[in-house]
Amino acid sequence: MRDWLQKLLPRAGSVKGGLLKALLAVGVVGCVISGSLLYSKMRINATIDRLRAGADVEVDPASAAPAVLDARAAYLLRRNRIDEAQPMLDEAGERADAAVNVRMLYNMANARLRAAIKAIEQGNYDKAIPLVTLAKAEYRSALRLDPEHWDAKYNLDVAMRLVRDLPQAVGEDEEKPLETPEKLWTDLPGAPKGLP
Amino acid sequence: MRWLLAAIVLVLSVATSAAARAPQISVDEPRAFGYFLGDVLSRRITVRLGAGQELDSASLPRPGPLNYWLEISRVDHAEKSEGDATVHTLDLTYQTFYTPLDPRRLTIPGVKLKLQDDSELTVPEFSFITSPIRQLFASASQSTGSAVDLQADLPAPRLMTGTERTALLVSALSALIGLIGLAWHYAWWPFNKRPARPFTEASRYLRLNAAKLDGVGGYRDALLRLHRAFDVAAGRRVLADDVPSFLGQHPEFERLRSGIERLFVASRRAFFANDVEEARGEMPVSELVALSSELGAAERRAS
Repeated sequence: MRDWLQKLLPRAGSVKGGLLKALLAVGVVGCVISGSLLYSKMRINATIDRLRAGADVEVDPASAAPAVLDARAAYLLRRNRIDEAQPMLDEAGERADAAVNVRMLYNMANARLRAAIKAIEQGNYDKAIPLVTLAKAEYRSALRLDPEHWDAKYNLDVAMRLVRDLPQAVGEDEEKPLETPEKLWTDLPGAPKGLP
Repeated sequence: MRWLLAAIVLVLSVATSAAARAPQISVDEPRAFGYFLGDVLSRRITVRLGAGQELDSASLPRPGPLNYWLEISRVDHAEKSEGDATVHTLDLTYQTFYTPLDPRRLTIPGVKLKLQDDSELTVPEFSFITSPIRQLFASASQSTGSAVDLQADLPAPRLMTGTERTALLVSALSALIGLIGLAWHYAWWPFNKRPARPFTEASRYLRLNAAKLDGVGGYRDALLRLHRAFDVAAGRRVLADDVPSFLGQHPEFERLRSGIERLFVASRRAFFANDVEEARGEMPVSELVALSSELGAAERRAS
């Protein structure tokens, strides 16, 4: 046991320098990686802060981070600039995660619904109906991604009462399916019994 | 009697084999009440098929809208064999978008599953009660006031940087530990040995033991201490004749040349002529202490 330890110890001493160098190298590499990640995140946060403070920061949808797309869309949609926000949503649909997409769809649908309500107040129903239909589709998309999104449920309910979903096919009654013709026959009074 | 028994056995065997062959179907249903628009319902359908029976996978329901308010959002199909039977587990997830004005019963249509031999299995329909989430008449008009008050927009959140901060801290700490360890291992800057300060040490010793050294043995001891300090400072033995070359190498002590020379004279007397009393007359302990402290100060100024 002692011999073995003595054989081991000088080797441990020579290994120690290598281990320390490896620790230093790992630490430096970790510093560089986490530092650059932190720096890029802090830059994104700075942009988000400026947008939230109300500054009109131009954002290139093709290259911006999903969080920036989210913030830019929220900024535009709060000011009812729906057409400018659409490219942000299109881009986020490709790249962003579900939470960001849900929020952007919800904000977009809200903006459309606000525009529709304004149009209804002005009596412009032709303009309002397609806006409500689009908003409903976007609320639905948001709820598909997050079925527990209560704000989207509430606002979808509002939109549904403005322009109600209706069965598309004639005869597709949601409460009671149509009874079959055979059943209808037998229940009819005065069915022919076969005698003249 | 015999034929009766045979008949019973025959009937029983036919019955059991028919039971083994008949597909068994069972459905785990979710609760049948308390749903709002956008809620999901999960039904688990378990089909147990006998040997030689196979489910036609083309007859499985596919995700997508069923009608204007109901969608199948997910279909998960799993298959495993138990003996010569096969158990199919079909998880159907529905999502309702029906917006009721009052609580009402809705029905999810049944599912028809086909077997390879063209026989059909029917999963029963399922009905549930869905409720509105808003009051019916919020205000007089449906298009103004609180009836169309929307839930507010959601602000975009800032990114969380906690992970990166922690990773940066951890990697910086490990780099620091590695650096300190290497510096210690290779005796770099904070861990390189400070140069020895022999005169400072000798001066400290003489000052602290001045009373004890004021005797014959003590005087020799004090002289020896100073000699050792000279030896260490020069890196070799310094005798009386070496004093000029020592001072040439260490010009910081040049100022104290006369004191050093007197020290070596006293030392020669004490050690070689064995006349300690004379030496003490030449250079008493108090002067040794004074000289050593001056040597120490010069040494500290130099390095």
